[in-house]
Amino acid sequence: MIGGHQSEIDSTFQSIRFLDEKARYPVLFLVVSGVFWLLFGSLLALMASVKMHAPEFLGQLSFLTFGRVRPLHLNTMVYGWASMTGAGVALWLLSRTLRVAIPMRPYIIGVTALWNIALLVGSVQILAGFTRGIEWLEFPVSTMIVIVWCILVIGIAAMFMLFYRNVKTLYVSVWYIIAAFLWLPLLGGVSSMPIFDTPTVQAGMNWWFAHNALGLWFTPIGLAAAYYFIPKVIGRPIYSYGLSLLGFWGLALFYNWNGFHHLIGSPLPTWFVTISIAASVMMIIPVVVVAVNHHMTVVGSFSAVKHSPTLRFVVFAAMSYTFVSLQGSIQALRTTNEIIHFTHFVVAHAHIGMYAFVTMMLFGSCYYILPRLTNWEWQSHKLIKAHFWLSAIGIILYTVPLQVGGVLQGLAMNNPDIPFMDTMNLTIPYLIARSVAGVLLTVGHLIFAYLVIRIVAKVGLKPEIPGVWSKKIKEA
Amino acid sequence: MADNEKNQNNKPFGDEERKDSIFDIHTAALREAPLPEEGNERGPVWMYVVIVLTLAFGFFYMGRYLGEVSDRAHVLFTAPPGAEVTGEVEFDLLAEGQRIYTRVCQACHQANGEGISGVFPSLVGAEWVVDEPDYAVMLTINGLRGELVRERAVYDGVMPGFGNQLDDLDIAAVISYVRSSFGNDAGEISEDRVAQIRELTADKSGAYTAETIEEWITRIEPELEGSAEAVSE
Repeated sequence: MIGGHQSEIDSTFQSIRFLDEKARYPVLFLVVSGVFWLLFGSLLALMASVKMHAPEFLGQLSFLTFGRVRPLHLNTMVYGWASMTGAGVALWLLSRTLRVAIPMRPYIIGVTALWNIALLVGSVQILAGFTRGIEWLEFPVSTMIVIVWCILVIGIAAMFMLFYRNVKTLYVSVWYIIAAFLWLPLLGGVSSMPIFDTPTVQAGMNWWFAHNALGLWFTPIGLAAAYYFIPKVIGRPIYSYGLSLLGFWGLALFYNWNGFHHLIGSPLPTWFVTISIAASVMMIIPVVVVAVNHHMTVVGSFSAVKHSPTLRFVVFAAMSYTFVSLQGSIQALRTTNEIIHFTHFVVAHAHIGMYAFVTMMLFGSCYYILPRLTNWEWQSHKLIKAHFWLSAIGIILYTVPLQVGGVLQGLAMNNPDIPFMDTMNLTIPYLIARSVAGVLLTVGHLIFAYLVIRIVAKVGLKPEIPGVWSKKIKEA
Repeated sequence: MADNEKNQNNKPFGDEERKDSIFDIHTAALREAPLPEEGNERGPVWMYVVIVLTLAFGFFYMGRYLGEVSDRAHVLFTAPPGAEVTGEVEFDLLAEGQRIYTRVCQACHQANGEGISGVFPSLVGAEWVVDEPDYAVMLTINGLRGELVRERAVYDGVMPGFGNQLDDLDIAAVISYVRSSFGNDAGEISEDRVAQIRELTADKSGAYTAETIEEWITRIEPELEGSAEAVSE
């Protein structure tokens, strides 16, 4: 467990001031790069979303057609925004929970630069029409290998931190992050191998990778952040060490099987899909356990979300995780899948996972971490609140109508009497709602980017008060 | 290596950082509460009930739907539910024609076959459809362009040829459908008739005009076996 309060104040190499000082440049570089790709990805998302209900929009330019803009949106958001910011947050969390400064700092800064270049080259390649054509893996293999290698180097830094730790026991966040740094290079490496040539095997690999990238890379980092920030901000201990343990091993045991539920009805052997569905349902166990653990920690201190921007984002994200995971377990069943497969419902589901959970968690983490790294304060509480509400309302407006529309679309597609065009046309109002939601989200991202630039560049006077909205709470 | 790493990381502040470090250290630490140690509660009973039920469901599901662990896809899931096929499904020329009409023709000639006056000619009671279906077959294969006067309206559009998209049976089906719909009451066209016309006009490239279609019809008419009407057996 973490040492007493004393060691956080003393001026040794274990004090949080020293750790944050050392974390400053590598973590800030990762986070700022992530924010850049967030804005770029948002722009692509808006284009793709409008094209869904106005197909002629920007349709004359070959490099801005839907088939290129949409994959690039996914890839920049996943490998740019969420992975880079997530890696930065993970490094900072490790530094704090293991009480050791981030090692290999020049290497981390170097691979982050390389990572950015790889993303840039990959973006040009996708826009120019060079893509693998596999969902979540549209970047050409060369780009993917560079990105995986960058994450591997950061993972080696994480292993060094684990090795030279100054704590006796490992906090729950550490398990998740170390596991994530072990899992992602495995996923990225295996999926880049030239052994998945036959279509069925390639489809299997595709969903094994895509689902695990979410479940074994972003989810562990997101949960690690929740496990750290919830007790840290409200000052109450995590409800149960035993439940943390159960939740972690449940995820490790069941998640890796889940991907094949995307391939119900495909030429994959029946038993393969069946095991995947069973494992998807089994995910209820770790999810419920983690939800109970988080809920029992927050319960009684719930009003703290009013005062802490970090906690507000983190609690929203933790609740979204529970919701999206339980929804996913139900979706995996063959009877449900019959209706929602190949509809917009799945798209909305993926966005609850990647946005309402992962992205909101990263926003909350950034609001906590950046003042400590920069030794500066957030410039405007109003803008942080505006960002939260734009993101929260935006993602709800995005997902709820789209899931309703998806179910209607699925029911219509299953009815042979309804012409295919009618099943398309009935989704148009929901797609327009999605574009409106996309505008809200993008405005939120612009506000976030503005705040990040202000705090990183240390513009203006240093605000007196930390980014906390009440004197009663210690934390921002 | 290990020692180097440790020394480098654990080095205390450099001189330039030390100036205000005591103040900084205290503000940094005092602005946040320390991370509390984890508790060790057991969790509510319902949670364990959920865990046991989920495990039970998982094992049941695998036992029920494992599909003999064979390498075949869709074991246990081969027949669509409730769709027992009894006997052969009869081919319905007109139903097939309707599907093709909806897909190919309806955008211009409209759902009621009346077209749009002055833009797309009507098919209702049209001479080339009802009385002389050979025309309809020919212009469906090659297309039609140029000036055309029908029901006191002048048309000057382009109808593309569908000879590459639709095979002989498709064309026979869709023309038969048009001939018996929208108030038209004429017989079916056979696939053979379409095949004959296609063969005889194989030299023709591009769309007909109102004049050239007349020339072609007089050229091929003697070689056609039987009349168009007669084939509606």
